[in-house]
Amino acid sequence: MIFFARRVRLRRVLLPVLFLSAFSAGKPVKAQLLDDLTIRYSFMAITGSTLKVETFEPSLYRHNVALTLGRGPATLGLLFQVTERGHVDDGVDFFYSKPEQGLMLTGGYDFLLSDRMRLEGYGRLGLTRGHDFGQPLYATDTDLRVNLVVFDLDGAGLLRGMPYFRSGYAGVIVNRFGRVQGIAGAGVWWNGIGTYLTGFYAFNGVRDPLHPGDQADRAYARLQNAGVSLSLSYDLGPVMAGLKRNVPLLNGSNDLSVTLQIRHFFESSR
Amino acid sequence: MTRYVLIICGSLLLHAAAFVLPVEAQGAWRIVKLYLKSDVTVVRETKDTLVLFHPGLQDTLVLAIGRRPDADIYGLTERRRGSNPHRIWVAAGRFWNNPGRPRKSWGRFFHAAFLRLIRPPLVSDDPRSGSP
Repeated sequence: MIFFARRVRLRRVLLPVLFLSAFSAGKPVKAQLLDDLTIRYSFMAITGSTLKVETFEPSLYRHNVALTLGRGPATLGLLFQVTERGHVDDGVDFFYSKPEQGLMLTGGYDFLLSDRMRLEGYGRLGLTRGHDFGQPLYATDTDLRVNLVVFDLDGAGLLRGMPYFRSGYAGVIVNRFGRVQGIAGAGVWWNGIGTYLTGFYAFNGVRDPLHPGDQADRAYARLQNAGVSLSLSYDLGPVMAGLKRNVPLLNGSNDLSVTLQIRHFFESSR
Repeated sequence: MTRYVLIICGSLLLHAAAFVLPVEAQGAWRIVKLYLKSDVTVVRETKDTLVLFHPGLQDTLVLAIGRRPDADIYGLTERRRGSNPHRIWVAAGRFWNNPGRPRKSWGRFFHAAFLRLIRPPLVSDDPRSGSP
């Protein structure tokens, strides 16, 4: 598999960061540089691509490995992404199943505004070059997103003796090509089980990527897309498992993601 | 496609229901009061204090928002990355370790589910830790 063939490159990037994290964790509590360390792996199977009125059936598997270091309200991390071709031999579906890989630097900040609201910012910066932004599902991106989140501090009620918590958010995502997406979602969390329903819509961009005109070189980076996703998650201590289904409404991919995340909080953050 | 529409509509209904469900009381105490046993009386309720009285035990219990010396149990806001901030309930050190008030007695104020949520005293609040 391409993913495993390229793991040497991944190892070169991630191992020094892991080493630094372990070095930090071994220090006495007061000398720690970090509050938490998160390792996240997600696997996405892309089985459909809706472009305007036409639907293609590419076969793509996307792997994401993210390492995030947190201190206070800020995070810094690396995200490595590999997209590999599945079971397609030729034809147009083969064209839409182009393998790629990319590495991004990530950063985030969380402002607590009140007992009910917070503002979160998150950005990605593509570090690798040579990507074809005219191809669908190019593997790297540079973007910035800001979300206003409302939440229940105490829970909204009880279900089988345990409180359930509601939350909702609205925000925007702007990428390096000037595409602006609006995003909104609502979720419920109860006893480790979370469910989130999210909708997104791009306000500008290439509406018909099959006829992009003078924007052929960046048709998919500026794709005017819209869709709905439903996600389910389960938290068990430091481990979180998630499942996410994305359904395109305008342009975009029909995909299913499985995520596994491990987060370690160092003593000083408790 | 019909299947996706059904899933999306079902999810919309589920999430809408969670947001429409009535919230009986506002403020920090609305959830705590759902855990109270029926024979417990609320003596005093302010934005940051809840005083409870158990007629059978002839005992009172003081809950507060934020760490306070007069509180037996107090609520703190826990911020953990990856999740929204939420309230946690912590027992005061002098209360948790008081042999005259065993957990069995103050457990008669609340249902078992809330007792499981109450955390032991913070290290800095435990007299055995040597901290002031």
